[in-house]
Amino acid sequence: MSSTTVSADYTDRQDGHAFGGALVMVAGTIWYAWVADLLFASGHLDAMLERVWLVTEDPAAIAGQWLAAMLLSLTRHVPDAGPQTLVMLTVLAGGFTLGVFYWRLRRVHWGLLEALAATALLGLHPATLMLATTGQTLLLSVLLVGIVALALDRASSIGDAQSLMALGLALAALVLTAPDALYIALPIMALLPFCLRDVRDSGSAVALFLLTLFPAVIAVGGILLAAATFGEAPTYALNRWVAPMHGFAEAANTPWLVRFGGSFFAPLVALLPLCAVAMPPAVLPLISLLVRPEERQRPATALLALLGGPIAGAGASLFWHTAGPLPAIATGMAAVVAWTSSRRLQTAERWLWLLWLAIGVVLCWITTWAWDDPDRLAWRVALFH
Amino acid sequence: MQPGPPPEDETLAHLMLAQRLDSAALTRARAQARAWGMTIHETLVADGAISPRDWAEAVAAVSGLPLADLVAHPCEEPLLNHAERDFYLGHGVIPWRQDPDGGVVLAAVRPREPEALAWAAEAFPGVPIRWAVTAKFDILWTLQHVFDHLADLAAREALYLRTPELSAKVVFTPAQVIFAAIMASLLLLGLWAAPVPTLIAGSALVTVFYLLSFCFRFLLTWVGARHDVGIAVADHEIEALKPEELPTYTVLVPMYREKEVLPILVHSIRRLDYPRAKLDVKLVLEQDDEETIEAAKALHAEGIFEIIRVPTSLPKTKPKACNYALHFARGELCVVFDAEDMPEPDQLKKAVALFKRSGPEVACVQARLNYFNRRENFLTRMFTLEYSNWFDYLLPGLHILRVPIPLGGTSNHFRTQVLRDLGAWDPYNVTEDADLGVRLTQAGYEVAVVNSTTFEEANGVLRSWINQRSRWIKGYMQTWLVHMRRPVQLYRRLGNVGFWGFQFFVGFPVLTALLNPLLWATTAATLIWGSAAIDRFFPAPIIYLAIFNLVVGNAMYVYLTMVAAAKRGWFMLMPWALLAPAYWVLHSVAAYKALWQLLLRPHYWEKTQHGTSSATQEALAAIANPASGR
Repeated sequence: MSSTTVSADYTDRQDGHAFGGALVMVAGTIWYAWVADLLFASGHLDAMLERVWLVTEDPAAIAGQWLAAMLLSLTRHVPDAGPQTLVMLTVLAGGFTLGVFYWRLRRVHWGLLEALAATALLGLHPATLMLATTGQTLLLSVLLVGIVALALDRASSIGDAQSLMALGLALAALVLTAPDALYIALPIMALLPFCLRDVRDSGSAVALFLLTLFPAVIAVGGILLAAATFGEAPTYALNRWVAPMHGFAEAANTPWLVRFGGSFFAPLVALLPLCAVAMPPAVLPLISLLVRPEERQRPATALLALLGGPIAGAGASLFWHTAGPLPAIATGMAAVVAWTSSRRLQTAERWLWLLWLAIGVVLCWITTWAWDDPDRLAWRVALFH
Repeated sequence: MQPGPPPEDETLAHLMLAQRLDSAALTRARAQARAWGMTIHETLVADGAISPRDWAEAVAAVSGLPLADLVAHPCEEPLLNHAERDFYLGHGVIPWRQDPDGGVVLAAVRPREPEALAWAAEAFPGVPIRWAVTAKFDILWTLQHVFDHLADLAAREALYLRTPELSAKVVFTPAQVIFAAIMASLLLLGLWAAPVPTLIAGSALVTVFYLLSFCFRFLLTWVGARHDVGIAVADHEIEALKPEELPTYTVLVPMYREKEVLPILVHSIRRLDYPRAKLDVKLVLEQDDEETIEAAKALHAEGIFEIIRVPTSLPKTKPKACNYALHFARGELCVVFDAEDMPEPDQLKKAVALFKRSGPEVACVQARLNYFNRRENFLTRMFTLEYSNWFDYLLPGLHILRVPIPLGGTSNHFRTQVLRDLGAWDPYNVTEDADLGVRLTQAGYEVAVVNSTTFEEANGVLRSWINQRSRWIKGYMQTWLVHMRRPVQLYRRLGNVGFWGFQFFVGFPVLTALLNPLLWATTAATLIWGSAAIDRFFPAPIIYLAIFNLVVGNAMYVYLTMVAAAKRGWFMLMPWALLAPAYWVLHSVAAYKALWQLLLRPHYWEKTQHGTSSATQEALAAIANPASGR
């Protein structure tokens, strides 16, 4: 039986703080609900919510986001549910995420005020605020990216069978939720050999890849087979997925795609600073990689936090599958948050993290780059009208 | 005043003068005796430096006492008392004969020991006591011959006589027969009066039941997959054990017509990291199995190996043999190994450490089982994946979730007294170990899982595999039927989780193996004639779950089989998990054979032939010729 050496980040954790996490969850929910209420009052959300609410009526549109579609379908069966219910769900999910983030920070020895400040800054960030208050299914995808990053880190830090299963299942859930999961999964695949501890030779590499990818294959295969059982040919679903913006022609003319569609390096170059400015603590994993030998021994999560968002965004731009930088930024943020909440940082690092995130939040709100999209701009205007 | 026991030094000197003992062996024995807290006599015999008979002859020569050859001159049976049997065995003393003057001659391994003297004074008051010297095998032989019929009766019927409701001697109780008849009548009535709703209800029931079974299996694997689940005993705990404090350990090895693998067994026992003088190894052989008995004798193994001849009677099962041998066990702890087993050397110490750390409620420690011939063919590979999943994931998962653990066939370590108190194994149950695990839990005890592995020979011959598997499945059927005789009582004793865990782990897998062919036929019908063929019986909500079970459930079972190889790093086996569905077909074949046998030959023991693997042959060759470098 192979023995497992567990990283100190996982063995030296503080228990408790569940109550604090619950309080933060409530506070976060109230905060997001208040913001959502402002948006409702402005009437800005109505059209967007209506669009999302009706998405399950178009089988083609739900291709690639089956998990979200299933949840949406269940929500539609709740008596008196309507498009506004979607906002309630994302608000609850946003509050829950903040609570879990706080709890995880406390577990890795963040002080009370430090953890509260970090959680508050995350709650104030326009990207998280937008995801939590607009009833979009993107929030679910972003949460799953965070879970994938956590699973990846656990797999590289502990490497037990459970962590491999968790990674495989998280990837499967991501594939079922985000139509563009492939662009997130591909960089992770490239990182897997650095992450899986038992890779010794080609045989073990193949086996471990099999272990982490098989659930995703089952998930996609199951969906295609089920669709085929009900008379929809798998080639139809494939063609739909391959089409620009998965067939939503109107979304294929966004400023982002006009500028970057069909290329990889140009959007990558654009996204690297964007992600760094939106989430400046993304630089900390780089520093950690440079100065900490133990980080270099398990670099997968740090690399994902550093490069995952830009590479995923660039890949999606290459195949005309993203309308703007927000999914990439959100992906990068989720990976950074997952990395942060899995590491025992020094006091100076924690303060640096807080300072940089504060700068990122301010920059996102005051600069113009984040608001070049009409929808986002309208959201901001509605918030401060 | 009675003279004391014969002086040890003089006995040793006699042995050396007679050139039956060399100084190197004596030096080694002295050191071991000091370290283990044993007598030099015991360590010499355990080391194989002398035989018990050598020692007896030397003691007789030094002390001037007569030598009692109990085989040539058996004990006078009227002197023997069945109630004193355990004392005879434990203290190595037995009444031999009565002299004309009324005096009783006691034959003893250690004559005139204080405890024996005290016992003799009480057992034969006012009677002159005289002493003779004998060897422990003579006492064992006598006890077997004199008390054979009683021990055999106890081995077969003790559990049934004491708690008939926990014995599989009766396969179906009248209440179970009536219940089954009522259910079958209701089903037939439903099919006659309202066939479609009845079949819809049936399909819904089966679908939900499959879904729950999958969820339970996934949960167990998930829980058992944690890295810290496997760490039961750490190295420092083994190092902290003091040799002199280690208890005597009985090792039961039931065998039948397996003389080929005897050298493996002896080799494995010798490799155990345990004071040899504290091992009490019983080779449990059937009386009619002359060839194995002769082969065991021909090995001339050390004195710790004892041959127990099990009287020929029905049922002729392994648990009956173990029950019989348990009468002769001297160990505070005992373990069962199969003949071809290769336990990891530290297994006994790990079990001791785990027992020591645990409370008295932990009555049994199950070691992990796996196979040494895993790369031989499809069957051995699949068997290895299955066992890896079972012992490395599922059993630890059951332990954590506090679900009764059906013990595996070998490497179960017990507190001997608890085992005896519980009536030991059910000789009528062909998976007596699984039954015992549930019985232990019902009695309020716990089964722990230790991080030590016993490697066995996987059955790689199809016919033999099906025979073996049909026995296991039949045994699970018996176990389920026995414990479900009083379901309310079972629920109360096991609790909610334990009760449902028992259903999902012991009952449902058997049912699954029986139902699978029916569902495969349904799927085939859909593929051939289209979904219209089954639409009526699988309305909308049920068909979704059924498709989920068919695609995701089955694929996830394959995935769990794949994961099984991860803990041990046997990555080359992982792709073979993709062939698991073919293996399930074999399970179903075995399940139907098991059902057939349950009805017609419920207590018949399908013997598994060992020693057929090339890996076993290689191991035997390596043992026979250690110089070959293997």
